[in-house]
Amino acid sequence: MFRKILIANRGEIAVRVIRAAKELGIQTVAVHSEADESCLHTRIADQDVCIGPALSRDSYLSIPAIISAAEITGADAIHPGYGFLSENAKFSKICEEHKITFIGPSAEAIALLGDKATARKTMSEAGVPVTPGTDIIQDVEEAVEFANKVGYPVICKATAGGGGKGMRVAWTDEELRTAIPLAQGEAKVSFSNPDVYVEKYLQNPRHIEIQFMADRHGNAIHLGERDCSIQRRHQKLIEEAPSPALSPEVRMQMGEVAKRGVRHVGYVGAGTMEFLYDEDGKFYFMEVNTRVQVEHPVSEAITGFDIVKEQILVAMGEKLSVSQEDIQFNGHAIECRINAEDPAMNFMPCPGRIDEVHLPQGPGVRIETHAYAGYEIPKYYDSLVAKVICWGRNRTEAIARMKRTLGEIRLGGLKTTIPFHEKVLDNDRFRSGKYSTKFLEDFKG
Amino acid sequence: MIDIKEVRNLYKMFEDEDIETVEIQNGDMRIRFAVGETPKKPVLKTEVRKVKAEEAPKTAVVPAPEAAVEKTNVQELRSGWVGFFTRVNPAKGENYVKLRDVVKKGSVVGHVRVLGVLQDLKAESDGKVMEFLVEEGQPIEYGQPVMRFEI
Repeated sequence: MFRKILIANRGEIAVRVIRAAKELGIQTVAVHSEADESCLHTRIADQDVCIGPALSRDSYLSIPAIISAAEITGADAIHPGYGFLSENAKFSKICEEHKITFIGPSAEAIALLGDKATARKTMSEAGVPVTPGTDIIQDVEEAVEFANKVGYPVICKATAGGGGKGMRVAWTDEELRTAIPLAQGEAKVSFSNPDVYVEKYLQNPRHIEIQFMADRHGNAIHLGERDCSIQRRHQKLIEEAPSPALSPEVRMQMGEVAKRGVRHVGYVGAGTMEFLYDEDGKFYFMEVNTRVQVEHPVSEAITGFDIVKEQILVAMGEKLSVSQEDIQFNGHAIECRINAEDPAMNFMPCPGRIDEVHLPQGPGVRIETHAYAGYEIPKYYDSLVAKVICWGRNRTEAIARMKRTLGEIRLGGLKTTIPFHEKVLDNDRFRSGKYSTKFLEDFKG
Repeated sequence: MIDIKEVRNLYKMFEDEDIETVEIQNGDMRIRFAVGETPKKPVLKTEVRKVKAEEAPKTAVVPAPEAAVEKTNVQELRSGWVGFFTRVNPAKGENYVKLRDVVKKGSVVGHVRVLGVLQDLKAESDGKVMEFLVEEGQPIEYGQPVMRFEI
């Protein structure tokens, strides 16, 4: 049993983890930068420690500061949340060396699966279909050669990345030669790792991911898929489960592939296997996210499973609380990511003071947020302000509930993406369920 | 009644040693010396409290040893790390500085122990040690004020 968990993150996910720990009777330590002195997670944790100045690289990405904070507070476990150090194998290793349990997979599993280029290779060896791609790019010309072999367009991706950072699509040799150093720079800043690789870019796929969990005793389950095709610049904006496109047969295949990959590397904890699902019904392994994801509540809504709590239990050495046969999929859930951005100004981030907060309730409504009246959103971090998750007995009801909720929610003083989400929910193609990752490119909000 | 000579001796002891506050009480009279509690006031602070009005002491206040009350600039030294504070110079086994020591800019006045490694806390200006804000061995966070200097 952990005595105390340090949450190496901020904002809504830190709040989420603190809540789960409290329910398990575990003490919590929040860490924060100087810019996050008044962030909600610091107020609800049992202790809070300032670990550095505003810039992430000197605070939330500072391994010595975080481990030192664990040392001075006596924390025996660290939950990394998502982003920041959550998929950093070195951080996982250092936690282990300091006898602190990293709530996530081992450094070896992260290295094998979290590193996107190596994961593709590992999965390919396990017989999982992958999109054609390269290893880590050492020389731009090797990427150009690959692109000419498989045909443009191609996409350059950060191996340690996520959230659309360090990603660039290229349609010509020149674009690719420019894209690679830019992606490397972005990756270095966001993930402390500049390594990138290049893949064939499928033009009209759906992004479908499988949520899985595994314990230390060899048990693994999947919690079904999430369709995350509504993306802007590879950043997800709306996610739903189940996917309107998947048949039960394909769902089962993807789930089995995910479990196979998980067992192959001795994975422990929560993770997500992402696939691109092509128009002709074929799916290709894209990557594994070796952490809890932003959109995890969508899977929780349709299964009744608590992913974060289970992460903590599994890290403590407990067996999974359910078997695959126990997992029932019930109803339909949708999540909208509310960002402090102005959709009318090309989604420009608009940090600012929230002077009024009203969070709707009612059946099937869940809101995950660190917002409160009087909170000043700092400009240094991502612009996610709230996640609205609505569940319904079917997709129609879930959409109606989301519309009702978005119409009622108030985050006063902020420009947000709410009007944009409302327009998407009204869109015929979205309502039909027949959309792909190209949806937002064609969507005129 | 407290003898003025006693008070002066006490003050001398206070100034020579690394003591932050001294308080003596005799009946209704209480005298207190404290360092750094109210910046921008004289370093020596005395307070005489009368409990019973009819027993008003003859000597109410000890004059400040410094000739004039001067405005002082106070600078706080903040920690650049998360860790454990220490005043001790490991090479000599004694504190780097004590109260009222004069320090030069850049001189080491303490350390923060970060995962077993000592990081240097250095005086940011020439000045005089006014106050320690944390205890020896205390866990501290980034940005936490650890010492005050008169500059």
